Amino acid sequence: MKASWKSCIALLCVLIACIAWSPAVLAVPAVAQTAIGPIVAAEIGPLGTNKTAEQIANDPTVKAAIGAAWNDSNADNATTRHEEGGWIYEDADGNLTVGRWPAGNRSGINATPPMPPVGGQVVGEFHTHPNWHPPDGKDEAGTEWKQGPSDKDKNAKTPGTTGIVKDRSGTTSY
Amino acid sequence: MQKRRYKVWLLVGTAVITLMLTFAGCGSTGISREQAITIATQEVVDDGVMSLDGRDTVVVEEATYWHISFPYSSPLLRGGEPHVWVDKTTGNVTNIYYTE
Ligand SMILES: [Zn+2]
Repeated sequence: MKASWKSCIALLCVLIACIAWSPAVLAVPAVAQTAIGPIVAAEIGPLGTNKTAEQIANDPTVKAAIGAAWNDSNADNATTRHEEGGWIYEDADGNLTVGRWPAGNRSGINATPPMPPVGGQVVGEFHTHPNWHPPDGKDEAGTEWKQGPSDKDKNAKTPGTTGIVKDRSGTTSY
Repeated sequence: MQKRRYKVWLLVGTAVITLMLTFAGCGSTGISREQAITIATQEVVDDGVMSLDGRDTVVVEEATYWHISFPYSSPLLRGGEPHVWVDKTTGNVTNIYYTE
């Protein structure tokens, strides 16, 4: 009988310890946080090219195309601002060219099927982000925009190619 | 003796079941995943910055809030999504922001 009571007390102690276990501890997320880390340009070149992300972003043709796309985005007009962008191609001689997409909407753009030059390939893509405003990302209406490529930007890009987004602070490769 | 021992174990069993139910209650959140999606959806609609047409729903459970985002479904689309944080206890929207 004594042993029986001892068992009961031991069991109750375990249960009390379980109850004392903080609900906050129990609420630790079941799914790991998917925080977006710092964006670092790829160390290696995209598929089929020996150009790095930095070389592609700094190519004069690409830089000029990104500048033109930024101008076309009407970033300073709160009513008409929209995204612009396009593919970056590399031809058989290693020269980079650009094929623009049709104008997008305020925070999205449709990447039309790529049509690389004969013997060439897609090595990257770029688009503009006209909504983010320094220093805190908020636009004239107080809407908060996060800087950098969206989850969708990163997921939709062909692995191994270079993505570039252009906003008020400059360009970011991903 | 046997009868008494039986009663003791019956008592312990009842206590265990009661405490397990209490314990489960402590561990659960006030706002369910589905409720959080409903709250976040309404918040984005009310905010009026982005349409939810053609978008997926992605839910990440954080320690104190549900993080819900609505990325485009189409593989050809680039662009941003609304992100809403819903407090797991109160159901209040604690943060809303957009990517582009
Ligand atoms: Zn984007």
